Amino acid sequence: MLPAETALALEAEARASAVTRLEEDALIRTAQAGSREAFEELVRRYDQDVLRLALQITRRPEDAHDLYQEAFLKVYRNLDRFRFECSFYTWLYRVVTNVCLDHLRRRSSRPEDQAPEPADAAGGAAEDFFDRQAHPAPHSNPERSLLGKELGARISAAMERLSPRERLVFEMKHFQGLRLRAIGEMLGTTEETVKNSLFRATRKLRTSLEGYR
Amino acid sequence: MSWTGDNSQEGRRQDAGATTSPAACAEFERRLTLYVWQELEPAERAAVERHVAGCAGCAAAVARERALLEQLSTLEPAEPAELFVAQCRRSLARRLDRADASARFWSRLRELSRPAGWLTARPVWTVAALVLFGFLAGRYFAPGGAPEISSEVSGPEAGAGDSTAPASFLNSSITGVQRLPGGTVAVRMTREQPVVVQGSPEDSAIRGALLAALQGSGTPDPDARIESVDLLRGSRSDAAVRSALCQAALRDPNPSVRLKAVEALHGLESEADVRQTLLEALEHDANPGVRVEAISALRSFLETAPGEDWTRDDAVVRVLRDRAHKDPNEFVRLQSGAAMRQISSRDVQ
Repeated sequence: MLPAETALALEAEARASAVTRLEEDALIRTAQAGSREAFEELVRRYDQDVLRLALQITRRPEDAHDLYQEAFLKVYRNLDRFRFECSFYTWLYRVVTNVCLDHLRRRSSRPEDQAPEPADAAGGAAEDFFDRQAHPAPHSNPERSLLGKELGARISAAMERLSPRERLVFEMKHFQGLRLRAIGEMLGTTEETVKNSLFRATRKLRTSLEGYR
Repeated sequence: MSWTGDNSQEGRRQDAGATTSPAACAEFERRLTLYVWQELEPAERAAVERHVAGCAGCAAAVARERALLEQLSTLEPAEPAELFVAQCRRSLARRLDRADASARFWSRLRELSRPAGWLTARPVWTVAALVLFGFLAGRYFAPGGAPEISSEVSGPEAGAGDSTAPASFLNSSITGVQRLPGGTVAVRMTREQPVVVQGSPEDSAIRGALLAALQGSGTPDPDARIESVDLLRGSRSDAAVRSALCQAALRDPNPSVRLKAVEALHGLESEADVRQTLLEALEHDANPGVRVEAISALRSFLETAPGEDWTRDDAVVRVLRDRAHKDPNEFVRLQSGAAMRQISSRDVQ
């Protein structure tokens, strides 16, 4: 049995989460009724996560910008199809991951349109990109960043060798910290399939980075 | 052990010694990866830990997996900058406006086509309607069959070639009909006709039209309003233009237009009405991109105009303090705080 304080804290947390969910449901219904303000509020709640994933996947701000537009326009046009059967976040990510997968598939079929190689020692396009578009994470350590630059370049190159689905699962797990079950729901597949994708992605990355250290 | 990336069953078997069988290690290969990613159920996790405790090869494999994860962590996640987020939101708002306009157009078209649908569903009525239409058209357009229309058309379009054609009256609003002596009739009407004004942006007619786009009912097309703001920027020293830009910055329903207007006001902060507009936008605008632009303009003014006493205005200090504490956007909070510090240091001097 849980101690009384823990039980109370859990109950309070559950209640707060239920209230947030109710608020969000009301917001979604308002947006479904045609309110642009409500839709834009929903965008503001989630778009930084979406943009982070898009930047991570594309490594090009122009492409990330396009994916962002395409994903949210799809959400806007299909909002009336959202039936509250899952969380809005999951539904939104279903759309976003589809857009990202399409992008990765297009890119893998056009070798000339690959993401820029990460910056070399002299600093290249990728460095400009991160300098311009991304704040360093608050916990970042400049010395560690410098030491890891070469490794980062190798990891980025290795990630380009993953299949679109493996890449997406890896990004969502590693950088977004999502559980595989949630990723499965978002991708419209089973947890088992996602586990296989992560396993294969890890194996490929291990092989690509073999002998580096 | 140096890391070689060898996670094969063979590698593990060599290290495993006699404590575990190769079959057991093979069974754990996939689970070791998921174990390190913390994606196993508690029971599976316990089973892996039990196995690893007695299997040197699998313990080494776990260590290699952890080393790989550590390596992967050196690649820092991309964090979108505030300005980039604001830019994406702005573009999205513009695309949504276009999507709304397109949806409205199709909805209107559907409404217009509704009678056709009704006729299709009732073939007998459709045939009757077509016969009636043919009869009336024949009566109307057949030589000598159409009603006579006076050739005397007064007003600005008098003498225009096709202005008296029956179809040209469809978009007219009839404001009066009068019988005249001699059996003729006078019909008074007003017509809405598209007019194109062409000229340099400095021309008074063009400027008037651009100002009209921003004021009152203006134009429903936000892209046209954005374009108007952009073109008026060249004449912003004109008080009427400045006032229209201030109004657009505060009242336009579209955040992209408001943002463009705030941008256009940048550099005119020495004008009291512009400062007031920027402060109001900073305080009340729901769009973070607009607030970012407003505080940026105010900050650059503070830097370039030392000695301005407007900063001693209680309202200015109140707004900046409020935004520094409460604005949901980090950039706005930081910039407002910096502006406050700038004002305080000036007061101390």
